[in-house]
Amino acid sequence: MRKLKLAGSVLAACVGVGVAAPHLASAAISLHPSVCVLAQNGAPFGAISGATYANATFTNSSGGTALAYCPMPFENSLPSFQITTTSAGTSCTLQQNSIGGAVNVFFGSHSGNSWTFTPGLNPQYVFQAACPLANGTGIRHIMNF
Amino acid sequence: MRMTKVMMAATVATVVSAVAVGGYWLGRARTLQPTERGRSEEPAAGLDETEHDSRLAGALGRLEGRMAALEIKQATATAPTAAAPEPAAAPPAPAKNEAPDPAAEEARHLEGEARIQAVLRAEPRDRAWASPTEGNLRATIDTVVSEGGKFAVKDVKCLTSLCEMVLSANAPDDLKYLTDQLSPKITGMGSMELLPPTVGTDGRATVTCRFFRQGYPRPDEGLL
Repeated sequence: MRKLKLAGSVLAACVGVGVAAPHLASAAISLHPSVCVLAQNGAPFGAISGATYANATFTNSSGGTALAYCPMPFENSLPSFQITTTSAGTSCTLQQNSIGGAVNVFFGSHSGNSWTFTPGLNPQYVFQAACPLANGTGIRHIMNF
Repeated sequence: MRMTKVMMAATVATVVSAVAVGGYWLGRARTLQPTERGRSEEPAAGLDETEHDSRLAGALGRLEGRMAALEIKQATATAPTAAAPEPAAAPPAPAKNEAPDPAAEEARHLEGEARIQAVLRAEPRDRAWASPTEGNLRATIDTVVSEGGKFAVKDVKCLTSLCEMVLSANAPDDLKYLTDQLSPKITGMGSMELLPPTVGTDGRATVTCRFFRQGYPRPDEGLL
């Protein structure tokens, strides 16, 4: 009788996990960092060459410190952004344009190599992350969750 | 005996896997969007006719609402002398996948700005934080200027949850890269907002920067 109960519990747990899995799997939008661009780390912050993309990682191979700008996907029901770098020694920010030409910059929170932003914003504006990258460092992952 | 146990374990594993896969597909089917369902399935045979009618009525109601909004917009566009009504409350954010309404967005923006202005007028000053933070902001601008920035601090004021700083420059172009010049150097703040520069009759440009203290909610939260 006890074994029967145990088997029932195991089956119920399996059904629960199976039903919940698709919900969990759909709760994020990922973007490959190949969409990032490399820019000069100082005025006029123009695009420069030297970005490489291999093993799903965007790397600054310009020979010096440069800025990476990455467009961020935004889904209204997913309020947070996360950008993961290959090195903790940087400080990514999230930039957002606004009505009338104002710009908002969010400094977010930092844990290890990941920067998380929860700006609580309207969805229809353009977002981008800006990360200063030392030569040889890069961006691994961008996510809206 | 040993073989029987192995076979029993294998059978149990097979049954558990089958149930888990079945559960997964059941869950997946439940998360399909209506458009996805439409592609792969016929309308549910058991769909209640009353429910179907109420959905149609709901869609019709939404369409009528949008038409009314368009008519109001057209009327206000053709009568520019009519005074725009004051927004009573912040319009709600657009629902998921709904096209943004520029008029509603503008109202939300104005409401957010009004809330910030109210805080700037009424918030008490946390001296322990405000004084050193004003000093830090001035020092940050000095650093940016030493790196090539062409602007100066005209005024800086911190209260408890935010600071407002006004910068001036000889020309608007001198403020073009301000966002990127300032962003990496700001510390202790949750976010900052740079308003569009204004140009005086003498051609000089000024820009207002707001810094929102880390750990404090922004007055315009949800209205950006």
